[in-house]
Amino acid sequence: MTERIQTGDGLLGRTASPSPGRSRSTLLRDAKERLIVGTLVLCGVATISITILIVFILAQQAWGFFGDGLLDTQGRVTKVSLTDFLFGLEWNPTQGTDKQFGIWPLIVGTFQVTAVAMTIAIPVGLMVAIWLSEFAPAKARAVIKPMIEIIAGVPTVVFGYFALTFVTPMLQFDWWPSQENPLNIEIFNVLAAGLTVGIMCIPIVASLSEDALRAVPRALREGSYGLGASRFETSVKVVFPAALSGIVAACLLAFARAVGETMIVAMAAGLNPPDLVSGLGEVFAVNSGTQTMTGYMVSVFFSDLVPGTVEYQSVYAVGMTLFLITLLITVGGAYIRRRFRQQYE
Amino acid sequence: MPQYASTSRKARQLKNTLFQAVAITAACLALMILATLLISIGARGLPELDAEFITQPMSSDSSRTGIGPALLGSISILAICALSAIPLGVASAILLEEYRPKTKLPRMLHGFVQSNITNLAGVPSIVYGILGFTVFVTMFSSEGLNDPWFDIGQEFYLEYPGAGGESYYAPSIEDGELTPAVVGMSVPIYASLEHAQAGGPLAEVRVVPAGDGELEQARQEARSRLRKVNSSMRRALRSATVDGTLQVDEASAQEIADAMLSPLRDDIQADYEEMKSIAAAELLAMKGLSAADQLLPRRKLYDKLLDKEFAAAGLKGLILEGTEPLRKDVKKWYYIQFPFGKGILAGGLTLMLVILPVIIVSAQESIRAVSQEMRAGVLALGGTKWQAIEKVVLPTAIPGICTGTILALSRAIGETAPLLLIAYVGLQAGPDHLMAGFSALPIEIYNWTSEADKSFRDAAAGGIIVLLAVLFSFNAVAVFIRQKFQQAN
Repeated sequence: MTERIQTGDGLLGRTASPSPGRSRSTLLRDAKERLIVGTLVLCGVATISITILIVFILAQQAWGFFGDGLLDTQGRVTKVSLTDFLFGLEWNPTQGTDKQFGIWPLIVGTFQVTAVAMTIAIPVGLMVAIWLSEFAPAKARAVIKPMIEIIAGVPTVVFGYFALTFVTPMLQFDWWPSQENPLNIEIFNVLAAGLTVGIMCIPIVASLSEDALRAVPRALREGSYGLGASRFETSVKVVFPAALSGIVAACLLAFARAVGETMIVAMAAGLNPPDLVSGLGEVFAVNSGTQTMTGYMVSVFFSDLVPGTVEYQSVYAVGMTLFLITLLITVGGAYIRRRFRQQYE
Repeated sequence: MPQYASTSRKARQLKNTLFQAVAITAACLALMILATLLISIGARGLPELDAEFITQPMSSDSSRTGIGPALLGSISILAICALSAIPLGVASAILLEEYRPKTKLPRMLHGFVQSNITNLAGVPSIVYGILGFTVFVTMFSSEGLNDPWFDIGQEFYLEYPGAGGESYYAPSIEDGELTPAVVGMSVPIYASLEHAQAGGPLAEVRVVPAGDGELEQARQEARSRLRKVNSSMRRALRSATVDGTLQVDEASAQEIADAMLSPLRDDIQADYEEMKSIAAAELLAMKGLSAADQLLPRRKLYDKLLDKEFAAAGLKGLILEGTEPLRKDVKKWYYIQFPFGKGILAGGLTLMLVILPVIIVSAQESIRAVSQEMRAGVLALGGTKWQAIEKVVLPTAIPGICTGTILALSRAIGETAPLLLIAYVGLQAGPDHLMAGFSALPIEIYNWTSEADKSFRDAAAGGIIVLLAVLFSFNAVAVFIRQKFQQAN
């Protein structure tokens, strides 16, 4: 062993004359190493405590909203029970004396927008993914994929502006000479907000699904071609099913993004959540406005409500609900990807 | 049978072609939407863009408004966010990837933290907004906002209102006595805060006895005359608004301008003529503004006129005896208070919460991509684990880490929702210390877009163009690093 080391010129000198400085340098090195690992652990602990604190604080603040009864802006004690919040069909937190804190109108409002968004994002996104992965020439792909990913980098406030100043006037047929507004689209409406959220989600679906499609081994495609299948048949009947777990996970991620999308709905969807008490008619009215969970939070932030009042604290309860819904979707997506992933090795 | 096979093949071919056409249409649609977005915003915003728009503060006049302070605010919080998120994120990624625990309990903790971080990357950013507000701005208390528990880095001054409307400053300490001005006061008095901070030059100021009736009378006269002018101005504007005509006609503007200006001395007649024309012009410019918007220009005009009147009455450079000083604090750039309050530190740290999971995940991916053999090589040569990380893993992973970090930062600069609670709207100056309030570019864009006055939407488009330009240049740097790195390999 020693002989083999001594063949190296650089190491020869050191091993031949072990100086007293060597052990000191080893000590120093160990100390440095320990210091660095210590710093790393410190940073790690900071990150870990942040990640755990986030969940804890949100839960604690949301819990404070229920029970004891906080004062509202007029100084009255308002009690909100958890059952009222979870099962109530009426959401009227700020107006009048009869305040209602049932979360369902906001949840329904959120899913109105999300449903419109997904009907755009999933088909278009998947088509783009399949084309990029299975049909597009390498050069076209190298240009188009980054361009589509630019959409993902555009800030949502820009999309919100786009929805309000371009999509809504388009839907109102402002460009039509007679200016009739045949679809009866209001200034704030579900359709424009949903379409724009959908546009924002296209690159998420497309990019992640494309990654999943490309991860399917070439051998499967070759086998399919070998049996005489066309490109269409190969991609739809062989590659697509093989990548399904990744594609579903991509769609769920886009879904979570749409649920949590804030600025677009705050700018383009309006302030009135659907009225669930008088029937389900408003649920399907995409031409009128709605309010989502995120939209409600923004409206409270931009009002002059004071922290500590029941109206203001409701933000935490709504935020917690939103957090749990998106967490559920994200965890579900991760589970599907792990559980149903096909391993080709 | 061959017949059937051939039609079937044709049908299949047709299907294939059709599908491809639909797929290409989808891809083109996505690109066309992007193009439409850029063009529709560019068409509205490009005419707005000039040096004035980028440097001027926000104004209630949509044609003169600008993004200067908002841009400075965005840059400051981005810097704080980068300085906190990058070391924390990269260190955590190294810890999670390179120092995987081997025993059971820490391994469970490791797994929990890992999944927690991955899931947090999907949490809506507005949720981080309320967390940042609770943790950094108020630190769980609802009272601490106005009265911090602890603060350091402030200087205190006494502000003596001068007889001529200007202010004079004398150094003081925290909770120092508010000594009223007396004749022959010994404290150094400066004409501005900057002079007081620099320690000179002293102001040419004189404390005069309060009993000087003539002076006091001149002062009262100037004040009351202007108060009258102000109320008649307000009346004219209010009646103009109530009538629904929404404007001040030229005649009444002139009338007010005449009424307010009674020259005290002949030698400043020219000055007054100039002020008269300014007053008439500004009053006309106020037409159609709502009451709140009228306030600012009217106040400015009033202050200008008062200044003139005082100067004419010879009141400049005098402090009346017995004038009570006001406490004035100046915050140094490192001023720190707990809780942080609505300032750039709280804003930057909130953005850090948003992008920390993203940075960790992308850094982890780059570190994981470094092959195990390279680490083994260092260890085999007798190197330590940290040497392997420092000398081999990090240099190999750094392009990936950079790319991920830059993309995360480009996300941070466009984030609006988490800042809604922390940023201010329409500040007139950029932040000058760590706790200073700020307005951010995306917040300003949101505010302008939701403004009832639609003429602000062009300004919003201009702001969007600046935001997108910053963002795309960030992305370009990321792409450049990735390309260069790929070529090197």
